Amino acid sequence: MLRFRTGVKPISIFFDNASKNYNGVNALTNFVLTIPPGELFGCLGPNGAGKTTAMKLAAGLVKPTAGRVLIDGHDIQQDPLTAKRLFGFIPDNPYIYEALTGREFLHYCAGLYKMELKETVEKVASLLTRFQITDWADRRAGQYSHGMKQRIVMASAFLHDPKVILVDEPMIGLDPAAMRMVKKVLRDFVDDGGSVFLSTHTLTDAEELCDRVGIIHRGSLVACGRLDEVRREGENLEQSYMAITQGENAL
Amino acid sequence: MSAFPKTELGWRLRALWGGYKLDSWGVRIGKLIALVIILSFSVGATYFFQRVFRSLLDLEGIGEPLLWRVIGMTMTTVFTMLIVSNLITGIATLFKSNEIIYLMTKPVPIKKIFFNQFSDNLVYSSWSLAVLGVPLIIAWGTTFNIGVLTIIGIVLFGLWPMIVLSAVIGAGGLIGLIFIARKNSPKVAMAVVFLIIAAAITFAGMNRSRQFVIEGAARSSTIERYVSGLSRENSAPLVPSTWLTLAMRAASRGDHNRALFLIGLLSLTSLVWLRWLAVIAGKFYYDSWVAFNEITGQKARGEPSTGANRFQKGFFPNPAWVMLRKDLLQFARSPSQWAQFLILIAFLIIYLLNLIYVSSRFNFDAPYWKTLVLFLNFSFTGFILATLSVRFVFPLVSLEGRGYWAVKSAPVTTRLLFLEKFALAFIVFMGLCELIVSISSHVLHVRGSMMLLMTTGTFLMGATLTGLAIGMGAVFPDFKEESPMRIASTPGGVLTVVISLVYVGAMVAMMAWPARGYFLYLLGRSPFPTDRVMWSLAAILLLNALAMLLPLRAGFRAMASRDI
Repeated sequence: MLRFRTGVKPISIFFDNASKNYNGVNALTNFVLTIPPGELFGCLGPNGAGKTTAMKLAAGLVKPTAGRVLIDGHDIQQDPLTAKRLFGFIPDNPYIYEALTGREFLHYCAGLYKMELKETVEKVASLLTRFQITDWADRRAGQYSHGMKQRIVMASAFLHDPKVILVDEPMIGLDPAAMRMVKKVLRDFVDDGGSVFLSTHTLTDAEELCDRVGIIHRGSLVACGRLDEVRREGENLEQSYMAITQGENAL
Repeated sequence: MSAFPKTELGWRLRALWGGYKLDSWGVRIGKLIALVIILSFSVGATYFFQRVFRSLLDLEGIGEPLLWRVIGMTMTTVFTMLIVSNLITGIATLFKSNEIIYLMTKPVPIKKIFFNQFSDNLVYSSWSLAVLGVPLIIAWGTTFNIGVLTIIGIVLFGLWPMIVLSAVIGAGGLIGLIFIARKNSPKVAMAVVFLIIAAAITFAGMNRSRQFVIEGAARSSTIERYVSGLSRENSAPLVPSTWLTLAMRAASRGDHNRALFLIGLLSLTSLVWLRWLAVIAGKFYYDSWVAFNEITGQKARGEPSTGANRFQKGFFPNPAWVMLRKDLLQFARSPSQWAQFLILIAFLIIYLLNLIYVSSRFNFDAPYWKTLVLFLNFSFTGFILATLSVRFVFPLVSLEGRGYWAVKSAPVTTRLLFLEKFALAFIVFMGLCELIVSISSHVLHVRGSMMLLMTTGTFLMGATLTGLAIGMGAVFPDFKEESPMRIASTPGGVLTVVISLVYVGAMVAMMAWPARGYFLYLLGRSPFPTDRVMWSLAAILLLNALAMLLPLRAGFRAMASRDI
């Protein structure tokens, strides 16, 4: 596990001056962020601010133009196989192969992580129960609603006992009960020492769930800290968010 | 491009232009190179057809009838392939496209939505075959010294209506099949398709047997009967492709009135059918679209299907194995995929039956004929391989689709993904191609060195075409497209067809060169061609190494550096 130079505090996710440029457009610029174990970090920002780019950089789905991202001390570009074993990724669009059943998809994912069959069977059963999808698990994903797919994808992220969860807009398409369940799953994971890097548009979710939040605006991290640090005096998170991202006039 | 377009076509052109503007310079140069290669292929194909036509015309007596038979068969094949292709792509374009869902919520007439999707389908399913059809007509025109205006007329009012007609049949047929599927079941609809194919094959078989039956190649009376059979014009008078062939034939003889009549017949038929399709679409398209979505999008209720845990039972803790199983399951559970595969296998069986039939009628013992038929068979195997590789292997990487995040975010190397795709395609291809070569070699009584040459050549060709298609598929992926047929019809797919066909041609030429020397040696006309064999072997190895490894390497690099 990576530690600061002082050797005091461990880090699960470290964005080290990471930048990403798409065909001349800066999606993320000199992004610096550290997330320690046992923390749920919420990434906020308007559409197109760079949240998903940050998430994809951490997951190794895009290459940084400059800088690097370390997962538990392993560079996702230099040592991808080790880094990828350490996190579970939940994309914003829960696309799964429609010809496979939910259970088959989970077994497929377990195979990608070289998990043993016995362990997989037990783990899949337990996750299906936890995400309340056992009844649907043996149907093809083509028949699933968005919310069902979302739950299967979430279950797949927890299959291999990751240390870190990268989750992009987890609440989209979920019913209120499922939202509650997901919040509990994420909170329990963090309480057990895991780290979560979460991107969301829903400020109330961030307020309820996150230990720290960061606001990305036009590719830069413009505010970062505990909720009480980001909130201005006498304002709620929404007012502070609007002021930061749209200027004082927006209020 | 600043003003808002007023027509559907205008918006489409705007979208194309917008997409082009988003491309980096590297991608633009890549597209330009692809365009140049496709154009060069068209020029090359024109030259090739011209050479074939001229060498056929050089055969006294039998040459011209044989030429028209070749043109007629090519046109009928193109027409059949176009219908099949329209049927297959139509499922994705006319019924599954997200664009329809969006348009259905807007105050747009159903007919307009239908023709919007219909034109899309027509372009997707037809343009790669048009790349072959136009050179064929130009080659015919230059061979028979036909005027430029006549050639343009034949393309615009002959080839184009034929393409439109096949699209109309495809789209109309699909609407009908969906109603059958809703009333009965999708299996009944599938059975209807196979019955129609079987009926068409039987009809074609009966038609052919009337004309091709000859009992001995040596007697002049039988050759005359054979030539007269070839010369018959009314082989399939109701098939529109026949009208096009007959119009070209009439134009070659200077019978412009007849040519004009036949072209007019073709154009008018396509217009009338298009009008009928508009009526059918206005009345039934919306209902069939709703029916399709009801059939395919039924939400999960009731008891789960049996046998759904097979994936788990066969599970093996190895990423390559689970990826392989996933691909096989996806293929097995996609009726449009395996239906197409079965149709192609059916064509292959017909070819083999034809070969058995013809070899039982002809005496192929003479070394010249034996070698000629053997190399024609080898070329055909290469052509089949090239078609299959582009249709089924090229889309493999793209078919990872939006689910590619699962592989890309997992501890799996791109190399392993490539190896898995290669192994899957190669094993299936090898089985198929070695089967063709074995059966054809047995039928043609080929033994010893030639058998070894053909088997090795097919093996190399299978491996190279597989590598080429996977590599090119990774260089030009389309992760948003879910229909393999449409993926294969993208510019990258067409470029792969072109490169594959050029490769097959080069391979056949390189193998024919020493084979010719060998037969001259057998006939005692020259010494054993050691130099030829050595040079040819070196060239074949070099060609295969380049044609397989370069695309694989380019594809691997493209995938490794691709942002998703």
